[in-house]
Parts: sequence; C-alpha cells; structure tokens
Amino acid sequence: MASRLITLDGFRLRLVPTTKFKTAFVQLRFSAPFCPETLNLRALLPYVLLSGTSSYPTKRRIQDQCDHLYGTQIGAGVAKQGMMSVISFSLSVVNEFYLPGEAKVFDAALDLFRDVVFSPRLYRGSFRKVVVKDEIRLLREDIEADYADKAEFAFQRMVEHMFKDELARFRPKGDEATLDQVTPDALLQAYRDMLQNDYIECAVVGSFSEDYIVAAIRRRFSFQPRPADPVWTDTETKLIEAPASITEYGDVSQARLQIGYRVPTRAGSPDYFSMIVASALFGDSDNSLLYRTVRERDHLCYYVFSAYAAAKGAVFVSAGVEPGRAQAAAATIEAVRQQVASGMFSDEDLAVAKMAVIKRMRQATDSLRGIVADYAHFDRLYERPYDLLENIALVDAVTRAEVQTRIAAFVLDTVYELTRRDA
Amino acid sequence: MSTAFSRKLNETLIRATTSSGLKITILPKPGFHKTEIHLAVGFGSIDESGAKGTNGLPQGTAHFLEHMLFENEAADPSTAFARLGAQVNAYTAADVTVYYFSTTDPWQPAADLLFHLVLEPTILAAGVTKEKQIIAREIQMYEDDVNDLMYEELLNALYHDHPVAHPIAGTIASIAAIDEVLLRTAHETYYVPANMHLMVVGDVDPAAVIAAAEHHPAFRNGTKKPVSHVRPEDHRPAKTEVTKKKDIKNDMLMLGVKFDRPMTKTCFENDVEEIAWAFLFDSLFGKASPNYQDLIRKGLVNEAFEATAQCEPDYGHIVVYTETKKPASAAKALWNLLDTASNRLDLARFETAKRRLIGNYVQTFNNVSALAGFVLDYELEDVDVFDLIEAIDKITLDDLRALLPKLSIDARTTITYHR
Repeated sequence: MASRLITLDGFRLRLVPTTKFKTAFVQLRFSAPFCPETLNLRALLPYVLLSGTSSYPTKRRIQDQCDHLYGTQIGAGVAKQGMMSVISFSLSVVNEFYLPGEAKVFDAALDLFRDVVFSPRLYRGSFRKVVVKDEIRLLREDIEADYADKAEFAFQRMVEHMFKDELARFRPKGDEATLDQVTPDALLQAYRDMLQNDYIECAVVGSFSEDYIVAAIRRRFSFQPRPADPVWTDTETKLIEAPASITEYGDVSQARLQIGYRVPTRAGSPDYFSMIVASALFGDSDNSLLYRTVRERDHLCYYVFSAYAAAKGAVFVSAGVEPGRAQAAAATIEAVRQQVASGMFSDEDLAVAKMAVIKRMRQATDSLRGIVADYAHFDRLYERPYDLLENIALVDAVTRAEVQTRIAAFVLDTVYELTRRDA
Repeated sequence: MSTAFSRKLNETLIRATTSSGLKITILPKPGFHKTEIHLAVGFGSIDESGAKGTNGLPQGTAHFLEHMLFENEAADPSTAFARLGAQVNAYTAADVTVYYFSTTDPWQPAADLLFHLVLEPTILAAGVTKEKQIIAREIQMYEDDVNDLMYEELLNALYHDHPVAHPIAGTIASIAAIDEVLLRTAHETYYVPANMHLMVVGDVDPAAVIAAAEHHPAFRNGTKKPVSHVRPEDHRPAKTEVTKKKDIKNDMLMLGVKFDRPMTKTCFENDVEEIAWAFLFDSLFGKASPNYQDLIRKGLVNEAFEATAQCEPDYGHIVVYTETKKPASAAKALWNLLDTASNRLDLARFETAKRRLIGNYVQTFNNVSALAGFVLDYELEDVDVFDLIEAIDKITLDDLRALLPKLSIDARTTITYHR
C-alpha cells in the first residue's frame, strides 16, 4: 500500500490506495479542545446535520438517496481523543465495478456527503426546532439504553469516580442531565465554530487514481487556514494516596467488577510498543495471565480482561463475578499484576502476547476503518507514517525487562463493584 | 471439487466433499491477512426433543456438548490456540453448533488442533459434573441480558411445544439429566463428517485446505447424517401477551406474528421469502418510509427499531422490536401498520430498496470474519449465495403482495414487554 499525506486548503488528506476492498471509504474529522460547555452541542451536532440538507431536507430523503446509491452509508459520531473532541463523518460507497453497467455512484455519494457537512437544512437562519427536539430525544434514549447493559454501566461509574476532577469523566456521547438545554441557536454557533476553527483531517481508502481523488476532494472541501495545535494525549492526573473502593447496588445476577490503574505511558511514547505487549500479557489477550489465573485457575469470574486506554494513560480491568466474590477477585487481579512486575511469566507467555499484538496489527489492515485509524494514530503522534512491518519489528524487539517495568509502573486508582443487595 | 464464480461480486466459492463425507467451502480472499475457519456441526437446540420427543435428549444437550469439547484437554483451548497465533470461540444455535478461529499466521496447525478437539473428545464424568455447575451459573447470568431474554420470551409465547422456543442452554432442571453417557452418544450420533461443514475464508490455497481435512485422522468414514425431525405447529400463539419488570430506562416492546409453514418449500425459497419480507418491511416502516418518520415524530419508537422475518422449514415468524417510552401507543401503531400493509406497498421505494440490498451484499464481501458466518449459513442449507443475490432482481411487487395474507394478525400475534 503506497500511501500519501497531502496538504490541501486548511486540512491534510491521507490517501491509501488499495484494491483489497469492494468499497471506497472517506472520513472527515473535526477536532476541537474537549470542554464540558460544548459537550452536548458536539454530541448532538452530527445527528442534526444528518437530519436534512438543503437538497435532501429530511432524514428520510437522505436515507432514500443513500439507498438509491446502492447502499451508500453516511455515518457520524463524536469521541474524546486526548484533550480533543473529535467529530467524524464517514462515507462508504460500493465501487462502480460491482454495480450494474450504467451506475455512477461515487461522485453523487461524495456530493451528498459534502451536503451533509456543509449545506444543512436551515429554517429562518437556524436549525429547525422540531429536528433538534427529535434528535435530543433519540440521543437521550440511546444514552439511557446503555443503562440496560450492566457491564457498560459499571464501566461508566468507575470512570466517573476515577476521573472525578478530570475531563475524562465526561461521556463524549452526551450528558443525559443537561441535554435538554441544547437550543437550535447554540447548535448553529457550535456548527460555525467547527467549520471555522476546528483542526481538520480527511482520509480516503480505496481503489482509485490519486489525481482523480485529490481533484474530487479539493473541489468539494476547502477551509480557511487556521492555527492548529491539537493535543492528542490527555495528561491530566492526580495524586493517589490510597486506592478508592466503591460498591454500588443494582438489579444484577452477576456482580460487575471494574478496576482502574493509572499508567505513565501514553500513545506516542517510545514505550508505547512495550506497553501494548505488557497489556496483552497482563489481561488483553486469550492467553493473558489474568484469564489463566483469575478465571481458569481460581474460577473467580466468568470473564476477565483488561484494556489499555493509550491516549489517557490508564488500564481498566473488567470482570463478571459471582456476587460476594468480587473482593477476592480484585485481590487476585492485583496479585497477578505484582507477579508480572516481578518477572513471574515465561518466555513463551511473552512470545504469545507478542503474537496476539501482531495479529491485531495485521488484521487491522483487513478493514477500511482499521486502516484509517492506524494512519491517523501515526499522523497525529509520530514523526513517521504508519508502517506495519516496522511496527511488527518494534513489537518483536520488546524485552522481558521492558514489560516488567511497564507493569510495575501501574498505580491502583479505583476498585468499583456493582452487585446485588443480598449478596 | 467444484467452483462457482460470481461475475457481479468477482468472488469464487470452491466446494468439495471429502471421502469421509465432510463438506468444505472455501472463499479465497487474496491480499487479506486474516484467515477465518468455521467448523459447523448440524446439531442445535431444535434437535433436542425433551421428554416428549423421539431422541430423548434433554434441553441444553447441544450447548453442553459444546462446553465439554473445550474442556477436554489439560490446557484450556483458548490458550492452546493463542500459542498458535489463533483466537478461538464456539457457539450453539437452534440448528447448528459452530467452532471457529481466526489467525494471521499459517492456518494449518490451528485447524489440526480444532479438528482434534471437536472430533476426538474424552468425556469423563468428573468433567461433566464440573461443567454442570459452570453452565448453571451461565444460565443465571443470562438474566442480565435483557435483549436476548426478550427474544427468548417472545419465542416462548409464540410456540406451544416447538423446540425453537426452548432456551439454547437449557434450564437448570433440564441439564441435571445430562451425563457422560448421554453426551458420548450425542457426540457419536451428530459429530460425524457427513453432518459437518468446514468453511474457510482467507488468502489460502484451496487444495491445501481440502488435503488437510481429507487426511486428518479425526474425520472417520461411515456414519450417516442423522435425520432431523420436522414439527409443524398451527398458527395460534401459546400466549398473546407477556410483560416482565426490568431495571431499564427505556421500555422494550417486541411484537411477533407466527406463520403456518408450507412444508413443501425449499431452503432457497425460504431465503427468498425472507428477502421479500425485508422489502415489505422497508415499504411499511423502513427508515426511508413516511411511516417510520411519523413514528419517530410521535415519539413512539427510536433508532433501536427493527423488523425481521424468519422462514424455516417447520416454523416461521416475524419480529418487530423497538425501545419506547409509550409502549401501549407504540404497540397499537405498529399493529395498525401491519394490519393495513396492503395499502402501503410502494413500487418506487421497492426498486430503491433492491439497490440498497445489492450494495449491502457487495459490502459484506469486505469482511473476512463476517463472511465466514454469512456464507456458512447458506452453505448449511445447500443454498448458493451467488444464486440468492441473483434472485433479488427477480422478486416482484406481486411476491410481496403474496405475503400479505400471513399478516392477518389478530389471531397470530404475541406482544412481549420489558418495562
């Protein structure tokens, strides 16, 4: 895959030509400093934009046009990445090669995509009240639906406790309690800010000629130059005197245990590759020490895994436990961590953890979104572009000592348990 | 060995049957790193007839066996596969048990391990006792899974005695009757090459895959495919309404309509019918329909809304699901739409929906893991997915109209609520 990074008017375009897929994929990302004041506005904005353009004035008409263009998909969402709030719009279009003879869809799909971002349907100079009201309801119900997923709910509660005084406590998806306060005019202002001030990135992956794509993108997307200083890692932290321990009660048959550790290594650090290997060895792979010890050896849980939040510098352990056994599981999890830190793992364990990491890296190149995410990661945080073989070599070079150092640097922050009253 | 090529998709399916009777389907994906291998056994919860049936298998046998096969070695299978660079998993469904792994390393060592674990188990009494406790806890755990539970409750309300309504894992009472002798017998009966299918998707050499399965000692000759039982039920649901209290913020509503199944239809015809239903639902309350927009505007449904049809040889139903804050009004509105469906078929929309579906099928061929499950489901029914995609163009508005009599919903409908 010969890829290129091209600077256009006010933004960078990452082009990845490949014939592997039957669709072309375009992503346009707008990033601004993450702050509580714009949280709900930026959570809602993409959905309001997807609710009507000047040419396709309703969600129904946009959907009908997408269907007409052979199942074209336009999606949008918001995420927190480091200190940034990132709104992304993505477009997925089937290559004309796979469609009946006369079909010309790519340009029409790109036009619709442009209209969603640049030509929203307005009424008397603002977003329509009824649309905003509908989208507030749909977003609120979407946030409320997460409550039905007890594992997700427990994770959110841990995050709220652990990052109490940090930006990371907020859910980029929106704040249920204050969502109703969003007005059409405030949304319009947030929209204008996004177009004028956000840091903008575009990526295109697919089978195309470079000249054609660059011209097609240049013709549709153009921004004024703007100062840009995006911060892709979140360095907020706190002094921990003693780990916090929180138990809450709910209607659950299985207790949910969540443990949060702080780690000093963040994405972009020279230690990043040893950190992902350490994380796989600890709890983030099928052969992890947490899985083998807490589940298979001690039968303390139904599931256990860890995840490394690289932009934040945190590792979260999640486990489903029989009510009443969460504290025993938490103690074992911490004991496993100390064992790894002191070198109690085999050379084979390390080799298998590396295999799991390399598998993940390789299979990411089998997915359009995986490719876009990998290139974005390197374009933002490294001096070099994404390179699979070089990354595999860096994983291979990770030593036992590095893994021990990474794991030894975990600081236990919060132990959260959601369980039943009668347990 | 036979080869099917789709000009539309620029994809090839290679099929073979080994001398032991194992069917193999390979979808080569040159340039992809990941190889995904599924080994399917034609044994699922609908093969369990319980006390009243003919084969005497308690509810939960197929699922129990799946658990046992992954407990039969000193090393846990997921760590054994991890050491070969593979991620393994398994699931039991109504009509099939599937063992599968993915890898970006050479596939053969992991495939050999999979064949061995699935076909050459050692089922011991001590292991069965231990697993019984694990499964009992798993059954309790399902109670936190409100979405899955709701579908199970709907099936239970729709069907009187059809095994599709039984919980796949069984109940704590039903699995108590399972022992090592029963499991060994079930394994000998159902886990025979003639009742199995190997599906491989990835950048593989098809001849090498076929040779690996042909020569692996685990696949023995000689046993016939077991006969599956067909148990039609009349169209009246067992219960018309079920309400459960749950700790949730949005109420959930699931409306089911039961069909009589004409037993003469082929699997291919059933699959085409499912697609025709999808087109009918698209006109009726698809995301590009005026009715859906109206339901949204009135606050009756949200984006969790979906409608699907299932058409199987001896059972079939449609399911309409939504989250809602106004369950009674939402149920009434959906009921009303289904009842007046004949007035709502829209030719222009139908043609547009066809284009979307063709595009969606093309997109599916981007994803190795999704493809393995997707193609396997059709291969198990002897349906050629390429033929099915060709058949979309031939579906007419009259085919949709022909479905309408099945929507005489007053006598066939069940509604379940979580609130």
